[in-house]
Amino acid sequence: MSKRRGSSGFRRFFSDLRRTKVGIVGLSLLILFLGLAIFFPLIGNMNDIKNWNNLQYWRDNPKAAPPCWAVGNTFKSISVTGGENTSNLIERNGELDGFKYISYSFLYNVETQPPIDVIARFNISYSKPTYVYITMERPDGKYISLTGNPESGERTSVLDLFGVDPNSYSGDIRIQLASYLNNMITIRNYIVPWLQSNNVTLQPQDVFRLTNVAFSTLHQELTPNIINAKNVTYLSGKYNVTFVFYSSDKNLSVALEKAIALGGCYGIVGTDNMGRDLWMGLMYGIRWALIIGFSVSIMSVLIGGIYGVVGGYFGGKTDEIMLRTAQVFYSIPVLPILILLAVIFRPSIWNVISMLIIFGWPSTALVTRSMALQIKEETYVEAAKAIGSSSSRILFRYILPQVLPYLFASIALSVPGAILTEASLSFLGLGDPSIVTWGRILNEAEVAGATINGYWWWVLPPGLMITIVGMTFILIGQALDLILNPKLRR
Amino acid sequence: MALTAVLEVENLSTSYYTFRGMVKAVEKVSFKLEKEEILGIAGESGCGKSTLAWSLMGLVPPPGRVVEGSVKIDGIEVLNLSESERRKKILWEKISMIFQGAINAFNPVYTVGYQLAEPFIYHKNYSKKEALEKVKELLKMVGLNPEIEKRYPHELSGGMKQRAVIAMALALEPSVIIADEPTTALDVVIQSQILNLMKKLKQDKKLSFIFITHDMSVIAEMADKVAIMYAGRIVELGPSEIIFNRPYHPYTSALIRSIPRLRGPIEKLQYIPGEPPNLISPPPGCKFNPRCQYAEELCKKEEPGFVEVEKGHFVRCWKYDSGKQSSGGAIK
Amino acid sequence: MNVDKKELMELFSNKRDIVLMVDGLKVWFPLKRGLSDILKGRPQRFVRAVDSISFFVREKETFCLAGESGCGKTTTGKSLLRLVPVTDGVGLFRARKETLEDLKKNGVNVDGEDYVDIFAIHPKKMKPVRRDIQIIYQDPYGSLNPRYKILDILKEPLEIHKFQLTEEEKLETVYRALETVKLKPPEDFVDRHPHQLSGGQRQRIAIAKAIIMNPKIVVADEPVSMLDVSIRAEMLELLQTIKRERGLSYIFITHDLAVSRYICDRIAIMYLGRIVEMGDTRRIIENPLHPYTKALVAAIPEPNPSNRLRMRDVPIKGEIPSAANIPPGCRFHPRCVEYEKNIENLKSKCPLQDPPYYVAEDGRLVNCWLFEGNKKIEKAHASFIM
Repeated sequence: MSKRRGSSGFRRFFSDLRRTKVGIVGLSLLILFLGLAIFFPLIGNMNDIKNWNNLQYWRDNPKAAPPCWAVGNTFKSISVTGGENTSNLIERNGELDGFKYISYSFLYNVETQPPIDVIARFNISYSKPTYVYITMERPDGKYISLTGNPESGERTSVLDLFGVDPNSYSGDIRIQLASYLNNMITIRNYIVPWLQSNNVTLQPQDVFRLTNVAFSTLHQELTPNIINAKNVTYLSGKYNVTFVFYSSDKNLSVALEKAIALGGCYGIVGTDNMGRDLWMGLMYGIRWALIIGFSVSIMSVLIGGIYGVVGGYFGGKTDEIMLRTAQVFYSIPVLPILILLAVIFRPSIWNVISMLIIFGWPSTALVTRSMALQIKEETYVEAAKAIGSSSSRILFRYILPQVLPYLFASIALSVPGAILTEASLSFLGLGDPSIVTWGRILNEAEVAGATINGYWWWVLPPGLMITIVGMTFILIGQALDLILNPKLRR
Repeated sequence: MALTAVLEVENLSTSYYTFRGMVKAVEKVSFKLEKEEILGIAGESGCGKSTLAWSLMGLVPPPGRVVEGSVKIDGIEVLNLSESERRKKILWEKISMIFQGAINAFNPVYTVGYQLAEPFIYHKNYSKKEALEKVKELLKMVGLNPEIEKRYPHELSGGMKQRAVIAMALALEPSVIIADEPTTALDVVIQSQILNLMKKLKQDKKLSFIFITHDMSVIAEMADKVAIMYAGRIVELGPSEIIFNRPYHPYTSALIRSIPRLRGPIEKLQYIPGEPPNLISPPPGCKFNPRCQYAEELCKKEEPGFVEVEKGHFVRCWKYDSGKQSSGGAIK
Repeated sequence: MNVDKKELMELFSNKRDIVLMVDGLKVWFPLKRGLSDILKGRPQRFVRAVDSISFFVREKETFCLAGESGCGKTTTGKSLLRLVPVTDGVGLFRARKETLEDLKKNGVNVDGEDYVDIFAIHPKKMKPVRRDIQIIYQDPYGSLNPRYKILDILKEPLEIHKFQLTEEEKLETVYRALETVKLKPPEDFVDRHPHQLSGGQRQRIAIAKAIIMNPKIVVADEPVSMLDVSIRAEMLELLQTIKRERGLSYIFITHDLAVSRYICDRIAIMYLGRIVEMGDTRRIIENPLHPYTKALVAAIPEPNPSNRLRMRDVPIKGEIPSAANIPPGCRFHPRCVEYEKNIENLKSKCPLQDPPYYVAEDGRLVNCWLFEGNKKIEKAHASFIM
């Protein structure tokens, strides 16, 4: 019977909530967030989250890149894998002068902006000295050799580029052209001669100027003043980067795993400085926000609610002791303690949640105690005693039902606080490093100087999410307030 | 006649506009209050007597408001005055109210004297000294020690508080004083003292009261004229002797016969079966018809008019509305 | 067990038509002591709400406790259900056999063969007695749990006391209780909540709840004072019918003497925690003897319009003192007009000594020095012979 009464209480509560505009907005948002949190594996990529701390996983993403919709003319990343023969990849192999060669030509189109990098990953196996030759062909027909040109007699060993044993190796190798070119020696050896052969005037200090922009310079319109020109015009059209591996080992095998022409933008809300897809972090963060919010608020409100009602109803010494205990807990400031604990112990999210519950229940207890003090003076409570009700019966069937609406409102209103406290902790770097929360994302942004560097996509979305989720619960709490106040006064 | 009538109410109607519907709390009420007269307004819970009191004061709480009618105090029409005019000229100067229990009338954080002085200071611009003199006079008038002005409301007993409430109502010597259940919360001994006080004040100061209560015995104790209210309407209005000794309206007579008496022969108490009507959707015709033992077809269809059956005696009942039905005599 | 109680029990055993005998009931509430009180060694002060009263109630009788607010009548009623702590007194109650059995099973010392001292039972062990003594409250709006349906409200006593009934039988019992209080058809009412009913209907539910376990005594605490006048008579008639049909007794608490004249068999007028006059209702009201009763009767207005032309003469002075400061001697003497008139003769008695109970000619008891000539009641409990 009590189940029936309880459930009808729920139903009544939700129907009341639906009647207010604020309640409808709050409830819809809540349902949206719950959906996103629960169905994250379907809409997002759980692998991204599992590998959040695995920096290797993210190395193929642009670092600190804004979202593509926010940047105007930009290069959209193109990525190909070796398994498929797409129009962007041409594979060739053969023999020449006693060397076996395997080459991969990666093609990409530039409209207004060039890629910020070209990354290629191969799986290679050889047992004799092996060399590599990389060229780039521009839409205007010009070729650039980016390594030693075997036709001119220079051979660049795989050791130089990949740091692997040039005589025998079997495994993965990876190259990022922009960083490869971000090297004085490489620039001097290959970029400068090529520029000079194309009538570009170069001063001695221009070598330094070319670092950091060597790769993009390769994509510029060739004018004599290319280095000093104020406006940068890029040459649009098809570019072809070819990787040739050659060796005297007839069993040389090279498989392209992935080739990427990396754009300066990524994803829906961009990436952080490790290249992590912030959208995944953002969506997954909903889960933790809701878990933390709900577990802390439901537990602390339930514990506090029952504690307060029991103390208030029994009165006397029991109540004195319970009240003073609650007041002691209430007056302890939570954040400093949590900071202290986080510094001493290894911060785990469940510790944080437990602490928030332990320090969160008193505020509800104090209020429900006052309510119980009032309700127990009502005539129908005395009437219950007159017919012989036990104390527990009175507590759970007479007093608690009157307090329940307040508890619901309380749960709704405590959620933002819990989320913020955890976010604050994570922001201070004291959160659980094994989970992805918005606070943590903000912490990493701050450490990387995101605000100074203008990486707004890293800072604004998590902050906005915290605000919106907090607001959702406050709206629900407000709606409850509208509904419950007259009843509370009863 | 109109020259001596201190209060004239004609066709006063007040309704509450709630989201559940329109509640016609007071409907077409008309009566006159003469100088040095006590009009008793009697009725049970929900009959509209409190709303009527507030309507006369212009204090109907929202979502209610006066819908129609005229209220003339000393010949001045008060319903069409603006809020500020009413506050400055009418409220408390021409018409004041004795509330039920000091809980409604006194602010616990100010002394009694301070609160009694307020009308003098704000309405009449007295100085504090002058106001204090007046306050002491008032307290003496209601049988209280003038030194009480220094006390706080909670320090006074129930009887003393009620006397102070009466003093407050008398402050500006209004023409009409409305007493809304002034003794309901009091013990019977204190009640008799307060009622005696009111009788004395009426005589000495030539006051006119509207005495509102559900207690018919108290009405008999005080009122010269009695109006019986039911479902927002006055169903019978007349001199006290007629109402109590030979009532015409079936409700009035049933009400009189349901009063347990302390003296005299013990007769079986009568009761009225059923409940007062829901004022949002009242029954058609006469509002009392579902509970009336004399109800006929006409009663269920049309509401009877307020008819003067004798001089100063009005009844709202088809039994006496000649022209539509044969009129009978008093119902015994 | 002192001698008095033994005598009382003997008396009670013989009077089989008496269902309750209360002797020397005291309910004193301690006033909170401040630190300065404790330090100065001031004695603990009490609010003496009920200050030693004795009365009895017969089977199928309506016994009234009447008086103004603060006289202790409600506290007396509630003390029978131990809703207030009892400071002293004996309350012999002829409970049902099953009740006495249950009490014995719980380790309660049951004094007599068919009765028990309800004031000697530890409050936590009172539960079985609650089947036999029930209460109807004054406020129909506050005495029913607003969250319960009517069905739950009426089933609850049956469930708390573990009546061995099936769900159907419980429903039947509830229906019959609703029919007894004339809420027909009962099916219409069981699923409603209290706020959907009128005041009169709610009070009927309260009555149904009180009688559903077939108690022997029902304490009715001003059951009609918050109801409209036109339905009071119906409610009082209902109570009488139920009393006749079920053979129970009422302890009817009221401040309205006019009502008590219609419903009470015997009445006790209370003042400041003491019974000042007790006996046959009609005789007391028609011819009050105690000065307080005289004042009370004189103060009550009547539906007689010629009363407005006169001042009401009420022979009493001053106001009720607080129950924490009960006047010495006869507690009524500061307000007593008779004392004032005969102050020379009475100044050695009324302000100094608490008067004993005297028996007037018609057998009623009066607690007043003016009746010194009459037969005195030595021990309070001997008053039950009436």
